[in-house]
Amino acid sequence: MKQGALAVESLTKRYGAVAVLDGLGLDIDAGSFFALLGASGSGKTTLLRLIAGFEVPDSGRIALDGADLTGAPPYARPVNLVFQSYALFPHMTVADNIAFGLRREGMAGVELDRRVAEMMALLRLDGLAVRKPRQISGGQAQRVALARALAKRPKLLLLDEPLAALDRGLREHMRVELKRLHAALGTTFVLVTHDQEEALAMADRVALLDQGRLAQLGTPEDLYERPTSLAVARFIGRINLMEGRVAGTGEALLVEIPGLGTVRARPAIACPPVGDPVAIGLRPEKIDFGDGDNARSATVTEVTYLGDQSVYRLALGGGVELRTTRPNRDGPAARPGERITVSWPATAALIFPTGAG
Amino acid sequence: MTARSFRLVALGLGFAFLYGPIFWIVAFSFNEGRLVTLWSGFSTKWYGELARNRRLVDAALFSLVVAAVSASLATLLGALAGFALSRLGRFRGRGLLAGALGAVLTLPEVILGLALLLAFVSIDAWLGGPGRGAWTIVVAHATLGMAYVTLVVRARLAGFDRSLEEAALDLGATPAGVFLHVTLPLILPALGGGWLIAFMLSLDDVVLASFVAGPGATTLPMVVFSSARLGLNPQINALATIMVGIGALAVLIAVWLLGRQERQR
Repeated sequence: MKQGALAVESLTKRYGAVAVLDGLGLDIDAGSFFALLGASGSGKTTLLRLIAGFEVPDSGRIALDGADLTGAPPYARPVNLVFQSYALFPHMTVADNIAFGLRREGMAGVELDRRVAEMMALLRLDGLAVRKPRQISGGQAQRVALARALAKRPKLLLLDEPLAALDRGLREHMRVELKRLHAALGTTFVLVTHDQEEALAMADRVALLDQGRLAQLGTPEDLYERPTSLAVARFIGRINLMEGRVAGTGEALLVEIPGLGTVRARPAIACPPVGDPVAIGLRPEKIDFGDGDNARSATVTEVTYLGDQSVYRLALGGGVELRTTRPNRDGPAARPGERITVSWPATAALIFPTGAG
Repeated sequence: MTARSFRLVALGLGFAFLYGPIFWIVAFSFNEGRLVTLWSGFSTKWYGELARNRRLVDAALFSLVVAAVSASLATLLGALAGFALSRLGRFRGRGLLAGALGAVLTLPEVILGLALLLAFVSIDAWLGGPGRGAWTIVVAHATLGMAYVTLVVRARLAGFDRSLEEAALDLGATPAGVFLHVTLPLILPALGGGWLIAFMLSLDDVVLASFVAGPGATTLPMVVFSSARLGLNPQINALATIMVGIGALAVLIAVWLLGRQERQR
């Protein structure tokens, strides 16, 4: 049976009058790769520090595999953290850094040497054993930090912005590396990041935090394709928004948009009544060039060439602007100033109620 | 005059101003004759005479012991004060402690010596003992040294990456283990540098020692000072040369220790 299931129950943490975490609750499945995603100030770092034991919550409970951790000091938790700065001990060699946590458990001799060698092999650190942290590269330092934390065989590994300090090429490589480690070890990985791309690419479940509360929890696809609020839709990926009012309900929701007429959208879970103000959200890649459902004529105002794809800015009637992307399979699909027809399937349009009236 | 030769002359004058008198002493410690103003040939005989001068040798050994003990005391107290000031947050009396330590650095030594003398006399009056002696010099020097050690330790802790200590906690070290295995090794160079500064302060102090010394407790600078008033003596030059050597070595080690931790970061 897999270990490392974390339960967070109505966790509140205040600094002065500010509630950084406000009654937050979430469950992390054993053995999953979980991402805590949020902008700075969302409370994700505070949650990480509460799980690691560096902070004590004002109220609420944290439990790992059913055992209450809330009051336990950091050194008594089967949880380990990979620091954003790596926090390698500068006065110790790479091998001593990795052995540090094991020595605190009283491990010594052949067993210790074997475990350190095992971790160094797992993270491809061979040949670096006697180097000091200042003598290795950033990517190597990151792998040492991982080896040091994983050497303790924690039930849950916390990763604080693990890729933030790496350059682009190394970042892509470490993503794959982290997925490989996760698959090989089966340990629960909890990734804390502000980078949605990182969270979507690596995690199998993502919790989006917003001002100390859980905005949405789901698979990366849930968050992108089925955001439950406007805030989530805006944070994850890019989205075009059009304001309007509900004009009719049925198998498709009809929304009247000023200057654009009535468009058809996918009915929301809680279908707003006729007359309610709503926003229609449309992901850029869902917009088709050419005739179809919800066809409208548009003027191309700007084309940005990005190599593999181009970004098109379109002006529709009533001052509505849409942004869309097309892969450049046969060169750019339209030129600035060109009049074209665009359309989008009703199922691609997301509905968000706006305002109370 | 070109800019280059002007710079060379300026540099030469600066060095002459700073080190001329010291160079003079060093040079004349190797003078053959008795006169300290007339060169009459190279000799190391004054070093030999110095070694046979019991009064100076005893004073030198006494000074080294006082310096070592007071520097150790200053390092212990200064480290504690440094930790309190940079780690305990805003506690009652924090401003007073920081201010008091700063005052020791800026107070004229004469005033500090007088104040310490009054304190020691009062202690004797209340307790009927133990009288003044070596211990009063040690305490006086530790007071001064502690203020410097606190400064060094605070500077080191201000630049200390707290996540290192958190990482150690996270990896299973108890708070005592964190201090022993992470904090202490990392601030050890600062403590070593602070110890050397306190050691040198004690070794060359005349003022405090003159105020608080008891009978029979005479430090080397006190002997040098009093004998210089009786007339210059090549033995004193030899002694001064040795002390300059020790001082320079201590400063070099302190700079190396404090610089090494900078590079480590």
